Amino acid sequence: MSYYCISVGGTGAKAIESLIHLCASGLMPSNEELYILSVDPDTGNGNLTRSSVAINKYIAFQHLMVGNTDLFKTKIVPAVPFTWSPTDKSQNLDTIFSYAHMKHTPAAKLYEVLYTKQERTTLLDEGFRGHPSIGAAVMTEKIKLDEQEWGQEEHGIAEPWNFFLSRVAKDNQAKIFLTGSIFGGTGASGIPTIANLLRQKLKSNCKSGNVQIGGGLVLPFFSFTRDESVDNHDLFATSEAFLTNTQAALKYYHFKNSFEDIYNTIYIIGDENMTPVNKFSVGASEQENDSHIIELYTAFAAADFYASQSEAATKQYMYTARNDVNKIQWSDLPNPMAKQKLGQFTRFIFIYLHLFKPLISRIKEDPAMRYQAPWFIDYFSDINLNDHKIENAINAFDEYAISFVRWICHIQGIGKGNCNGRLCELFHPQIISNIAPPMFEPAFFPDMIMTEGSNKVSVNDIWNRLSAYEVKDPYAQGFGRFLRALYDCCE
Amino acid sequence: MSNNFKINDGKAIGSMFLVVAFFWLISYMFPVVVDDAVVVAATANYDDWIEEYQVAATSLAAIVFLSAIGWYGIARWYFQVEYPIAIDRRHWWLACFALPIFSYVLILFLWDSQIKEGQSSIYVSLGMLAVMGFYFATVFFSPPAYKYTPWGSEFFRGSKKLKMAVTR
Repeated sequence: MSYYCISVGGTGAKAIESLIHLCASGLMPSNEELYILSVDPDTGNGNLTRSSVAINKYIAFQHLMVGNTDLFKTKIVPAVPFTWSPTDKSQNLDTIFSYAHMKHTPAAKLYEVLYTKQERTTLLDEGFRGHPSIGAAVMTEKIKLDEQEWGQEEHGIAEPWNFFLSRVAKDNQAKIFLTGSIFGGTGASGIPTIANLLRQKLKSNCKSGNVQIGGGLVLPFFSFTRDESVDNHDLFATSEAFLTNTQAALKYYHFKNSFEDIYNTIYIIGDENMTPVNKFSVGASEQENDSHIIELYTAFAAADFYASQSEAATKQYMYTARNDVNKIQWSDLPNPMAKQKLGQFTRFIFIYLHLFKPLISRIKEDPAMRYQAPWFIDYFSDINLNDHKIENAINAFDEYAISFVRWICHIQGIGKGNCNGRLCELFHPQIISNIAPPMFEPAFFPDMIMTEGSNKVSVNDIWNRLSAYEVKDPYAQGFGRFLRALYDCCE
Repeated sequence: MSNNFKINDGKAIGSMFLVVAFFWLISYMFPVVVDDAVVVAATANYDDWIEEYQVAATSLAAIVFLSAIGWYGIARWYFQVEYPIAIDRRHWWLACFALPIFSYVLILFLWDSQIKEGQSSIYVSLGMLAVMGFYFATVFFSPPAYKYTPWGSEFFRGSKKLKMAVTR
């Protein structure tokens, strides 16, 4: 059994980032591998870059031996290449459909009716510019899952689908989760197209129950105003069209799933507050938006789908919502373990960056001061900190931890004063005094997990616990053993 | 605090007491057990001398024990680690160690021991109580967060060495 996640477009990529953090904090249902593939024509977009950086860092330290624990329990396997782009460089719709060769044919005339000249000639390097009609055509044309194509590297298109399908075909219980926005260009066009193609290709596996497909569809949650410097003749997404796109897409999903049962489970995630995006960008590296609480919900939807048992006999409509419209609290998160596990993991990351990481660096420089940190003698005596492999794993973990802090800050709205127009009562808003580089206020550590009750743990408590604690798990070794001990002490 | 991480202070302090008591007993009984080790001056009474010596040993043991639990107390409840700076507490341990040493030296200066022979063995006996009593009590039973602060404790309490840390 394995889990599979296909993110489509920028929103999908951001949901992947949240999913990685859930994997790290042990909120995935079991120890199965998670295979992740990203689909985006805009391979350089900032959101995707951020997710792939988080994945790469996670992969670089996931081999650390932390033993039998929830910490980093999900092994992540990224697709190779991680991002599949349905378009080659400098392609437009005309070149993809070889319009020049089919001019004056009935098909060409139909094509001219369906797409404006601007839609046909706009380069698709930076995505489908909020036009799902372009994306759907390109995706269907480019994703080759037919037997004769399977296994053939045709202009780099066969992979990563080839590996993905062969892996799923061998799996006795594959759970494939597709996620992305329903209102933009890439996600709106890619999710239904890919799900449909997968369902057709894996028909027998789906029927036997070996393959289940889930969808995490994100409704509009941000808005932006167009930058005046962008040429009016350019094709770009407009947030005014989001709601209309969404309405059409929901009708489509309702219709399609009523008759064809493409998805075993569909999660629809929305937010009544439209978060304004500060910087307008058509795409590419400039399209890097802050993480949003809706992406955390999407990641929880994925975890819920992976945790769900075999297909229900009757259709069920589950519903979750917040208790208080002006607040986001732990009880609003759709996983009863969220507070305990995400809370413990966040405490672990924060204190590692605040206290232990700087001390490890200092003791590495000056080993004579090691007696001041008893945990260093207990856990680092056998570790050669100058070994490149260990150094790389520690650096990867450090960078992952920093990216986690930034993610938490975005989710929580730290630095903005609120979380998209409401209070976020997950973590104490004053615990982080600076996001980059991350700096913390130790005085707020005992209260960092909000409305926690009696389980208040200060920085000094964790220092004391770690100094006395012994990891008895024989599978916890090296730097992983230290991380395991610290994580256990953060409960 | 979760029960998994409870530190048994009573057991640690009790163990410190036993360590100090052990060295006190050696020191206290030394002239009795090795009765020809000390010869007092002709003007002095041997029984009075023994009594004076044992009072000195007991007082010194009390100071050693108080210094050891003083160290334990400040290390356990006074020191706080909140930032990755200024976490070195060895000077505090040395300050606590200085108290029994100073008391020992004071006893040597103030006490007219009236010993004719075997003075050095008495000095060693009291010195051992002052130095080893405090040293071993703190080396083995300092609070976990400062367990390696006493000199040489890494050898006794380090992960690959003799384990006597009291944690729960």
